[in-house]
Amino acid sequence: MRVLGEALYSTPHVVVRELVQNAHDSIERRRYETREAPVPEISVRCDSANGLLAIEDNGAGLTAEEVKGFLATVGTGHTRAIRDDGGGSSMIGYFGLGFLSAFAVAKRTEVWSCSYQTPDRACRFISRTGETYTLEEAEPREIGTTVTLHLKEDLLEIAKVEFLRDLLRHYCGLLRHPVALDGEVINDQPVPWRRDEAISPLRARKLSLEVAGRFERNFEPITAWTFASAPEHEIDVCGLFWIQDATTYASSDNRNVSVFVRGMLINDDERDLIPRWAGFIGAVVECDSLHPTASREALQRDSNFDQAAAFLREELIRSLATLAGREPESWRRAMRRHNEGLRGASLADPRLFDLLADELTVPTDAGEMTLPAVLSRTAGKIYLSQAERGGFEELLFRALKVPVVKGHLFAVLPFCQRYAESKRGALVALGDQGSDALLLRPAAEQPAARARLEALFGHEDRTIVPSHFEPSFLPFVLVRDRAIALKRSIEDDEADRRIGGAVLSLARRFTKGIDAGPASRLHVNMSCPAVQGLLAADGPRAGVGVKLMRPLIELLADPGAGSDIQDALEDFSAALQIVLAEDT
Amino acid sequence: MDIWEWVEDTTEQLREAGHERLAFAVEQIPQATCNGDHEETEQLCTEALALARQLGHVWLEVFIRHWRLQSRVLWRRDASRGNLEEAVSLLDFASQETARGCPQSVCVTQDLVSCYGVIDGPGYADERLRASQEGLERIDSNWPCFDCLSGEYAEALLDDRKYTEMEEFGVRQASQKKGAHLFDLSLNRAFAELALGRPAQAMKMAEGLDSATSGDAGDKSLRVLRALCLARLGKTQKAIKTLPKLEDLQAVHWDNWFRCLRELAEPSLGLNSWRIEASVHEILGALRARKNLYRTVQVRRWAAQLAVARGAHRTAAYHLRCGRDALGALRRPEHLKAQLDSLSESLAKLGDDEVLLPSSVDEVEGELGENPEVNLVTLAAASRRWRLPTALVHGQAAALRALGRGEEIPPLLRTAWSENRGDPELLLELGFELLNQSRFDELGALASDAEEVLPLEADWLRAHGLLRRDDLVGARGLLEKNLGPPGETRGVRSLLIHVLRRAGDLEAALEHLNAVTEYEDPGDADWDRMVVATQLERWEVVRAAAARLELPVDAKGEGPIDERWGYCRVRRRAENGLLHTVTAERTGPVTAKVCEIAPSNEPQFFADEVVFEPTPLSARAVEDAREAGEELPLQEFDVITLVAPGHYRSFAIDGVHPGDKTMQLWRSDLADEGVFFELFSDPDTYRLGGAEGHDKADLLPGLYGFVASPADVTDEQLAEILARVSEAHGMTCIWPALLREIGAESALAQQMEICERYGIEL
Repeated sequence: MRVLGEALYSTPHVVVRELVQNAHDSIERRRYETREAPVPEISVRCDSANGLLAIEDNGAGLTAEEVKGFLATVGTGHTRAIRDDGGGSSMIGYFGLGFLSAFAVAKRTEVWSCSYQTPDRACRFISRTGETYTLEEAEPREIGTTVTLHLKEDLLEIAKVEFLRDLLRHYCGLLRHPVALDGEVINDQPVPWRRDEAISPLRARKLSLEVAGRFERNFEPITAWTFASAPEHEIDVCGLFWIQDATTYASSDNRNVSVFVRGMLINDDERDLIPRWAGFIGAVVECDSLHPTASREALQRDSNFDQAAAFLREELIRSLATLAGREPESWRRAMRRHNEGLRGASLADPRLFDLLADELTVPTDAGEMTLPAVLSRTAGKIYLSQAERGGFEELLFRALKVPVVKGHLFAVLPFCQRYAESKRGALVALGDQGSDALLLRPAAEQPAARARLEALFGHEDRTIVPSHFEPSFLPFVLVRDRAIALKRSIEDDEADRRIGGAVLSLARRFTKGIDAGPASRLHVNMSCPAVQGLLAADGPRAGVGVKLMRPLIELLADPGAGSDIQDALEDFSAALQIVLAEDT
Repeated sequence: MDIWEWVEDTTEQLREAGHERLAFAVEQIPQATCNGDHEETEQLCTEALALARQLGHVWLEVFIRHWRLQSRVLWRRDASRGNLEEAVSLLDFASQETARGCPQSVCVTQDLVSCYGVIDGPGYADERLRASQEGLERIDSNWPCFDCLSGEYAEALLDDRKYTEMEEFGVRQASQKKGAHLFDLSLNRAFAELALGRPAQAMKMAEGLDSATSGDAGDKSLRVLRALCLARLGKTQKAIKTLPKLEDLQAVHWDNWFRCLRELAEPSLGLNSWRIEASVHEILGALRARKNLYRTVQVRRWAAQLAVARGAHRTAAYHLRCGRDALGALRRPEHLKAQLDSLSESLAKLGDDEVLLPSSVDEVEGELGENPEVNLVTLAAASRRWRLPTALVHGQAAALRALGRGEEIPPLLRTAWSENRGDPELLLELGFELLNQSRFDELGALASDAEEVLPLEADWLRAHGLLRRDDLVGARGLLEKNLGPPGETRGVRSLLIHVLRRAGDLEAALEHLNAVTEYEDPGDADWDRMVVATQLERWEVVRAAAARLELPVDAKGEGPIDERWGYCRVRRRAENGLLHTVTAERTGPVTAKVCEIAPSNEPQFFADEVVFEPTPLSARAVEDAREAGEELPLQEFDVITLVAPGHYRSFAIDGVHPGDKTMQLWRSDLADEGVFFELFSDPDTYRLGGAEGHDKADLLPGLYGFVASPADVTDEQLAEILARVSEAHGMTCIWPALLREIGAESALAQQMEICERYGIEL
């Protein structure tokens, strides 16, 4: 029994919860079975000098037979019997295992009990390990039960009053029956979601903050608010949310969720009850329909869990949306603190995105900015770089004082994509072929000019595309076709040596669908005075011009695509020498 | 090769080298994927990939790209072109000399094989089997991807309906692993048992599985499988309780969820109602976008079966028709075609949905109930007999929308419009439907079509289309063309005013607002008039509007309104777009001057004069405070325009608090020099004297705040003013940031001494 008890629970401290819970259920049993309603009393006493811990209640008590049946047999609690009988909705226990925890912490366990069924007879149960016990008749007193634990030497701290008070507040703070420690009631602090009496919204807000402060271990709450399901919801849930006052980064996960079932804390880290994106949210959740596991330290993942999680998710989104109007200052503070986390969160739900899209910032090379602010400086485009260090385009945009969004950072690219899709602006991902059309406008067809450009810059593996683009001082953009490169690599015989035949045939099935073509496109900027000058020049001057400009093609190619800068610079140097020689 | 050992070593090395962020992402990406947090995976991968490429860490690039494909293809079942290309590209990349040694390089085979499994599972079964087998031959059972590739092989067998072979393969692979956990493979084995008609064995297998290492998504897979087993075993209620809701599931779970629902299709169980149709269409939309060719037809079949079970024969026939149309894209459609044919035959025997139409079309509306599926059938039958009035066409559109068939609404409305071309309601409904779907070309064509019969409505739609595309000039032209005399076409005028204000033509906007107020009671238009007139400094108009609203503005006054209306809060955006709320003194109905000094590291709004939108943002907070009997908060307004910028800048002041009286005199003398001070600290809590050798009892009240100086006072002048005025009042305070700015080294050194003496922490 002792071994079973130790194995079942992660900490011996849960003995306090388990025994208080038994006391609570005994009181409920008395109400259920006798329809009597004595003022409920759960009293905890401790004597640290002698290592004693006693929990006393004025519940139904146990007869000697029941003691034999319930306390001495694993998994046969009476609560379950009452529940199976259709009663006991306010009872906490379920598995009949709670008493096992006593043997994990005590070297000697004594139970004195006097049942309402036999008020003139009491009994005493004494056991050391739970495997053997003595049961004797005892002096009858008031109906109820007292469990006295003689704690093991290494667990004497449980009997220290401060420690015990913290434990009781932790586990039993929301229990509806008063629990007294050495006469002091430890669970009489009000909680704002149990609206027994109407309180003003301001008072509720203050109380919510106060309670959130009690449950939040690591951060101050910025703001807190209550929630409660309505009759039309599938599950009855109520409690409190708060936003943590700590700067979070990206996908920080500080979710802090305490779950209470019938007033008893089951777990203070049930984070999966709220969505993953809510890494900056704390919550206290009260829900009597959730099913604890046998150890009662976690929840079973069943349909009730799903319903509670679904309710909390919806409620969180709904309340965050209204927080902006309800407490604008708190909301703005929360947005500053959790800008990155919220950016991620907004992508997980379109309603959050609508709420946050204009207010969150994205990192740009000109500092953090909201997208409306970016758009106001870029004539409706969101220029986005996807590399930690951007390519030449990023340098050019910087020269033009156009902010470039740092798309490689957490949640920035999809946030900008969704903004452009659902709100306004056009996304121009620098270096991305899909965005070329937004940057590079085709020039009106001029066959003579095209022929000339082909002659000057043409190449068997390159298409010349006369275009217009900003800035006008830039003569070319060379865009390499990644699909063509992939096709060539996969269809090359060399691939057979490095890739297995079966999977390679699947890959080739795909590349077969890519039309063969040149490896790159050279966009020649027809708005560029240098290009126009070159087209107007003739003879040897044009020849030198081409020699000077041609190396720029490689220099202005998309980075990381194998530009041969050394060759380019050598060519440029040679051309420059010709020009200088002519001048001299 | 143990991939996770490699991940652990790599992240440790990354951390040692100071790449914490990349290390965190590498650890987090698989976890987020297995938990079904795919948005997080995407976001982490984008960042991690850029960082890994920057470091030139090829192996990490393979790892990150593989996990991104796992998330996209394996879990989200997305084999659209971009992902297929990425899978091929990754295979190419991972087989290069520099990447071949990466422990994750084998797994990229699975990514590509999965893509084809997602596109057309049975159609590519042979190729998938061969490729998975090839991958398995490269590794032994110690590799974690032994499980993945075995799972892929098993799935191909299942798609090929080789259940017995699958069962044998499962046993063989498990024996190689010597009893170790093979979660994916075991799920497939349990499914094979189900397919072989052995639900009890499947259940036993499912119950023996532990999803602990497979994350939340694995947990959900297991729950759906258990629910399916329970349903097949006839344990209906338990199955319902176990089956997760569709909205909590991912694409990878959809198949078994449908299979389970098919077992629980009896309408009285409450799961199979018309509402399922909206989910079906949402899933079909996702499958289409993700290029799930085979699964699309399969879902059509399941949807048809569900519809038959709830007696919605027309819906079933519709799905079967669509399913048959999609068969052509499949490589091996025979089995599915036979299933669709057999279902069609059964449906034909059942006959069409029964519809009892009333004797006249006017009574049809009364026949409609809450079930859009039934309504659609009724309305379709009615439309075959009569031309439907507009209200019933709206009913059809509403039913389609409720059933998730929104794409059918424009054709429906277009047909109705072509039959009833004089109906403005029909035109506007179709127009706004197109507008909401951003189908501008079709909207233009519709407007042209309606031009002759409903010119005003046609232009109204055009104007909205132009506005949606930010073409203010075009919208203005159209609205002006259709503007009637004052008192008429109020909607057109309102929209025109909105457009004019957005376009910045305030004179024209004011003219229209003046016209509106001539024939309307005092109200919103007057407030708008005040805002626009204030922006234009047309003070006589502001006074006239205020008088109509009975506001306490001196009606006889002239020139700018500069009155004392108490304090308020104004909300405005800084240059970077972020909102700031600051305290201001209200100088009129819609104007205020900021009186709050911001710290030097924040945007400075002090002395800015602004025009604000007079609808308070703080109505709710004021109401709450009133209800609680507490002090009312200041009204808060949104700034519309900055009329005159204050151009102040601020510097921090630290030092000893001289007592309230001296403080006030010091402040007032500074103000006389055009310099303003705002105290940020509380003398009761901010104490000085914490330097060594000081007794705690000697602690002095501290002072911390900011001075704001205008543009015409230079930094040097400000330093001189501060020194002179502070000395005159015997103040001990310092402004090191300002001194640093002007390079006043000796003054700075003196202030640093004060700093040390009083234990001021900078």
